[in-house]
Amino acid sequence: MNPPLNDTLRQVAEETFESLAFMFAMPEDEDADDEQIAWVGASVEFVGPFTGTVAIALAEPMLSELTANMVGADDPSDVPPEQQTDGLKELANVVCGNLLPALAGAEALFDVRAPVLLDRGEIPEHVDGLNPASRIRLCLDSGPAEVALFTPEPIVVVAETL
Amino acid sequence: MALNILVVDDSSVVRAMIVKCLGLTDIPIGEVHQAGDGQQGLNVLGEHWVDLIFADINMPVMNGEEMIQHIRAQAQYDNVPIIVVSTEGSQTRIERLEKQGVRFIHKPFAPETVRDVIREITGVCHEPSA
Repeated sequence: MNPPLNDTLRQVAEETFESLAFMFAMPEDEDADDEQIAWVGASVEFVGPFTGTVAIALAEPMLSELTANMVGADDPSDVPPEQQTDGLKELANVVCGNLLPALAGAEALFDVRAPVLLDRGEIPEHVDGLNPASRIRLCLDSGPAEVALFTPEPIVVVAETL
Repeated sequence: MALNILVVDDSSVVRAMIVKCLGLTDIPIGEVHQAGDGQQGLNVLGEHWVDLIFADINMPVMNGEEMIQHIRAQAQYDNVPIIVVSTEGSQTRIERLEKQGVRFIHKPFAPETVRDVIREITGVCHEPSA
């Protein structure tokens, strides 16, 4: 894994969760048992100066709260299931859209595809035969989340600041 | 003057976020129409007059850039304010949109940003009650 890439992915992901869904990063829980978690996830492909996929997954119970916070609903149970998954896809879209200029600079031109739900909920070990260039775990106040970047090319972070 | 508004985005969540933000501002809002892609947006424009358009870029069927080109080609809409709400990070693409008279709001956004941009480009603000 690439430490500057991990740092950039973490910063973008944390800022997106915070500003889009009012979910805040907490200190890592060393005793967390991810084996027991049911995940729900989405991914988004991009093409441009480099190609790849950004995938994001979170604990399934967080999903209704995520979307309720995004749309300003008082009660998460009021958010219909299709809108909940729509919120997750939008989260993946925003993370990807903010990650790419943070990695490649503001002049780089990428085409970002429509986000899709991950078949099995969790982020797979490989996407299109690729290992993740970066994969991070977030401990949020609402529960755990994971974010990964899959790309065939080595990534050099060129943007100095986010 | 109440603004009739069209919100074009393939994400129902983003449309809901924008509509929610509109409700949190003190700007008088008339009818709010929604569309899930650029073609649907053009269809709405064919049936309703709107004073302001919010548009995404990446959408199925017809993307935001194509829709904006179609809108600008219509005489009655060549000056209608358009606000693109997108994660787009490429300054190249943003400048290309701005040359078509489009304002840009980057996601994620705050309600205050939506309010301020609407005020700036329409000149419409709160109408105090008599």
